[in-house]
Amino acid sequence: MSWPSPTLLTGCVRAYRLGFRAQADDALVRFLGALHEALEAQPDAATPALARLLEELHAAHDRQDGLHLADLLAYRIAPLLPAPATG
Amino acid sequence: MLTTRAAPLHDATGALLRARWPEVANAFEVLNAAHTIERPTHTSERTLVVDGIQLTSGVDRLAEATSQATLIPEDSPEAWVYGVALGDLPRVLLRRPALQRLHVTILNAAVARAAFQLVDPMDWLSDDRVDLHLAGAGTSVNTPFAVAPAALQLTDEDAFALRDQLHTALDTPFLNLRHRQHATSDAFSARLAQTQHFWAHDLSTEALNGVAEGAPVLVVDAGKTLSALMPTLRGLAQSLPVVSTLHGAHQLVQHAVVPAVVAACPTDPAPVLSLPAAYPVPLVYPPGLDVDQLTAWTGPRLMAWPVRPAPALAQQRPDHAAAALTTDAGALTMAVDVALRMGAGCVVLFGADHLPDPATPGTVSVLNGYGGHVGLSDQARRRVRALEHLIQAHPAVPFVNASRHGVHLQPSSYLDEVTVV
Repeated sequence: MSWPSPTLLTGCVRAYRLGFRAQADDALVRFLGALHEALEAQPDAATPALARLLEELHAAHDRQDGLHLADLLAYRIAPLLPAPATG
Repeated sequence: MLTTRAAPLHDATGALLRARWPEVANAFEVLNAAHTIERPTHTSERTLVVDGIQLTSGVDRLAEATSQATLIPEDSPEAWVYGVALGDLPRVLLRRPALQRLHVTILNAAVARAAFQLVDPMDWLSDDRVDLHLAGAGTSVNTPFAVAPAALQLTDEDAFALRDQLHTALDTPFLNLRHRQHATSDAFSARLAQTQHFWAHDLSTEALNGVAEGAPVLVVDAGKTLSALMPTLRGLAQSLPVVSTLHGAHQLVQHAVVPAVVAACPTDPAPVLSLPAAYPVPLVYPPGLDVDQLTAWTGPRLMAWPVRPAPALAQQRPDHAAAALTTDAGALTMAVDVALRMGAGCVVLFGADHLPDPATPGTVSVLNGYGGHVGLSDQARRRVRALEHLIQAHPAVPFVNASRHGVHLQPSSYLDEVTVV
């Protein structure tokens, strides 16, 4: 089990900010897939706060509100994810 | 919420616009587009939310604009920005000493006006290097460019073609990369190998060249409008050839209409169709089609060599693969290409509406045949533009759409305004 890599998240955020929508949507699908896998293995990490943010993220995606989505990922969801293991 | 005409522009901004860009000033005076424009209060930076779309980052606009500016080389003397947003991207670019000319194109006048009211643009707008443009039907994409992506999302309908060109330019490198990855994948190579005994030996689509020279050809896809059009289609199909996608053919046979040709595309997987042996209908397919469909087909099979074959396939080109078809934009575009190779003097489209499932409406707004708006997915929009590209490459062949409910194809007319037989 591993958390989505920070590179995947920052690449997704950058793609939304630059208007690379196909690339951004692809990265988002991969990010969410990795996140759900990690949360299944570690259910304690699935806090109500994270659940609410993910709901907001899906709603932003549905209306193609890419810059709000990028804000959610970069400034509100990323801080809730564990720091990548080092060493 | 605010309406776009409620607050006046700052005096200096209005004066500058009237002096340097009177067409923009005039456009701001005659706005009639209805938008829901809100100033969110929960964001740490000022921004606008227009029709549910946040115009910029609500946390760090400068970082966002700096990121967007990376699409333009540091030493570029000239640059194009599509979409004004709150002016952050022009501000960042104008800091560059090398920049001599900055073209900023407004994609939605109402949104730009609201943005100018919220954040005074005079610091960048008064820079002599700036040229402000209004996007219109004839505006094309210049490079190097960067975009304010939310403004792209909110483009006025006059500039939908420009918006789609910008999306194509932004998305093509990634889509090409993904296409190359798929085309070099083990799964694709295995499918090619599994079906090689079909595509390496079947006749090429050249066998169809000119078989309907000068005649109207009906092209059928399984769009939402097809069932309502079936009575009209059945009437015309008694005297005119039908080229159908595999999805469309499933519906045709349920209504006892036998197509003259069926086009199947691996990008549009459909349930296996097997027509009675009494109907020797040719199946046109590119290498890569599912082996079950090829095995089940009772009529002749005609191999369509792709205009842009994957590298793994290009090395295996059979000697007889002469004619190349557009096979990478979906079955409908492929079916239209077949009709053109047959020599169609006119193409009448049925079910070619591209309308999404009501459960999954798309968010890219395009026009339908009544001038109303239809929401498409990004993929559907790309397919529409690819089909239009093919249509535009054949200016001598009129295209007639049987339904106005679907996406308007440019150029095309409608069956209710022309006579085809």
